Amino acid sequence: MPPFSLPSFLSSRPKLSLSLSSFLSLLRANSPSRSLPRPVLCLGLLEVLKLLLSSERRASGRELLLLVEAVGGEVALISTDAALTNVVGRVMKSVRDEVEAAYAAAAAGAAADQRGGEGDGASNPPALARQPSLTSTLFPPPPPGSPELLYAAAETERLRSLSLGEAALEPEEGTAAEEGTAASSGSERRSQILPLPPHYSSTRPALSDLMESISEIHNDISTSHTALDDVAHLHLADQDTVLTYGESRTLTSFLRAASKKRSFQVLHAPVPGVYAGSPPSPSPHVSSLLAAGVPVTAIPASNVPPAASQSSVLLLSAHLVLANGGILAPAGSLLAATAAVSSRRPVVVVADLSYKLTRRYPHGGQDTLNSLLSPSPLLPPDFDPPKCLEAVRPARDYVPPEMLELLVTNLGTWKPSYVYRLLQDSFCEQDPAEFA
Amino acid sequence: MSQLNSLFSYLSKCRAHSMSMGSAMASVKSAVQSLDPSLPTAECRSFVLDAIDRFAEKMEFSASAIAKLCLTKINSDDTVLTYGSSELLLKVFREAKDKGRTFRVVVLDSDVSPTGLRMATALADHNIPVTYSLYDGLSHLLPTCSKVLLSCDGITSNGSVAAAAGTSGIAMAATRANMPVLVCCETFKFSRKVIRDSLSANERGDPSLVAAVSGISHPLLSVVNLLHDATRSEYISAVVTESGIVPPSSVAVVLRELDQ
Repeated sequence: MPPFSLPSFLSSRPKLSLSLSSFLSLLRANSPSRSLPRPVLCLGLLEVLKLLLSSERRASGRELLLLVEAVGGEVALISTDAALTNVVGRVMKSVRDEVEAAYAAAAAGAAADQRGGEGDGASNPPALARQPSLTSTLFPPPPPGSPELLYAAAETERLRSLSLGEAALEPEEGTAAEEGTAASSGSERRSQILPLPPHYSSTRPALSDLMESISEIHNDISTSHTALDDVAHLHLADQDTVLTYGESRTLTSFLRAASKKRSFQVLHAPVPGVYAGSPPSPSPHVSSLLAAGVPVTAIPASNVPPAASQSSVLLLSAHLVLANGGILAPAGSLLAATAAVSSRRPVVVVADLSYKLTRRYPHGGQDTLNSLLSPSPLLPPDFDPPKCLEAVRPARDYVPPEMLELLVTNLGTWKPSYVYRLLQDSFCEQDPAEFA
Repeated sequence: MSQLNSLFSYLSKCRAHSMSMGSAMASVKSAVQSLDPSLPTAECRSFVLDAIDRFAEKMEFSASAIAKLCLTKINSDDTVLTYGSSELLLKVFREAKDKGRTFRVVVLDSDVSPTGLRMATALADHNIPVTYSLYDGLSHLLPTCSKVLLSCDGITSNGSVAAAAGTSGIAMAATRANMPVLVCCETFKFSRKVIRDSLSANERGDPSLVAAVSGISHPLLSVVNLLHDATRSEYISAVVTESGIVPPSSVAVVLRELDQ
């Protein structure tokens, strides 16, 4: 089979092509200073994927996965925001789940047909429908014919057929490697899904079930802030002084919800680079809190270390929650967290996991999934920099899990050490690392 | 003497004086107090004026001595992190560059009083490679640095460093990263006061400089812009003075030596 090519696929599907290209141009129009809210972008991407999956009724599970991966690849080329690739990862997991469910249902149906003559009426429930116990949840033995064993078998077979040198040198590729063709041009992305077991090529997921799981993801993203707002008052006490660093819509709505039941005050420090430059624009976060009747004391970021010892809790909002429980937060958050930890104050993170949870680890330290923003707000308007001077403005900090006391999320509130357990509900580790 | 006191208290009422100003005032007062009353007025005046000149020379000398001592601490291929602007550190870096060290400097700055840009430009004009960033760039830039060199307004006898707001955060972050934090401080900036935290003796700056809220006025909003903070001695590795490189706990000892 030739390697999958998205442009040729889209050329015969004008409606889908239009939907995808309008979403991509929306993404391209985004800039750090003026961008749509991330949930809006995630929902837009979800719409495109929903259209894709609902229109390909004859495609097998394998083909659907390749399609979703290809669309995700196009998105990843334009935007480095991991929230979008997280959505792609979740959709891929839904497709896999529905393929497995369809395969299990078909297998159960076939087994029932075989025993139809015996008249006992009771068919063996398929392995996947077994009632889970604690042990089987924590240490599930792969049942015979299960995906894990099939992946392992398929991969072992493939590697065995190559020589040692070839196996060591080959890039991680799917079936495109077996064809050995270099026919793909530079613009076509090679699939990085690990080899799929054979039933993926022959099984089609049930369309209604698939659309239902996509709708669940949609509901998750659009209503998760309600779940956060409902628990807000549990994490703040009366007379608290809440230190916040950096701004986000999630944090604003969290504090507003808490202020309905608790009376506290906020010490707010904005990220220095954001409001530098002229003309200064007032912070929507502060205006919103004041309108809700919360007393706010605004301080510059350099006052955060002394302020940490005067506050009861540091509240941070996460841009992303990483697989080890650490977070990416606005630049300077690590400094605020260090000050809070030195003064023995808890650092509580508010995060909406429906699109912020990612399977990636902080392998790059402070450079993980980070970017450098334009330094021009730091410099005066007519500044002529000398040759040896460079100005730097990073976008994010990585805050390690050992500094965080709690992660308050739409799925529940836990210590950061719990995050790994949530990953398998949203993502499949057989999917490419980029999409999780 | 009482005239001097009233002059100094007037200055203090205009703005609370720094530790170095306190030392200067104390040295003038002690010169006046040690005057021999039998001497003619002209000689008394010249005695006090000489004392003042000596203090000024001591300041110059301290700066040069510190620059010379810092040469031992700035090696080639170092990347030195500093915060804000300081004439003393500018002198230190220029001298290290003139003596042939090849090093880089990372200058961090506060968004409310961006004096660091002047420092960065002056260093770059002296052909020292400089990376400039605001306070939020610390976590990104700290792994690239090998040591932190700070200046201060003064050091108290319990080893707390009084410096520009933000210094304590940098010292905390550097200590957490196991990076040496050196504070350059002339001995006339040592003080017998004791400071436990940043809030007991501080100054408010211009609140309109906090850009995020400069357009908002609301009864529930207050804006605080503290100018100084106190860094505890456990976050400081060493203090570079003209008498040598000492740990922060030795400040009280140095003060006692100076008295004698």
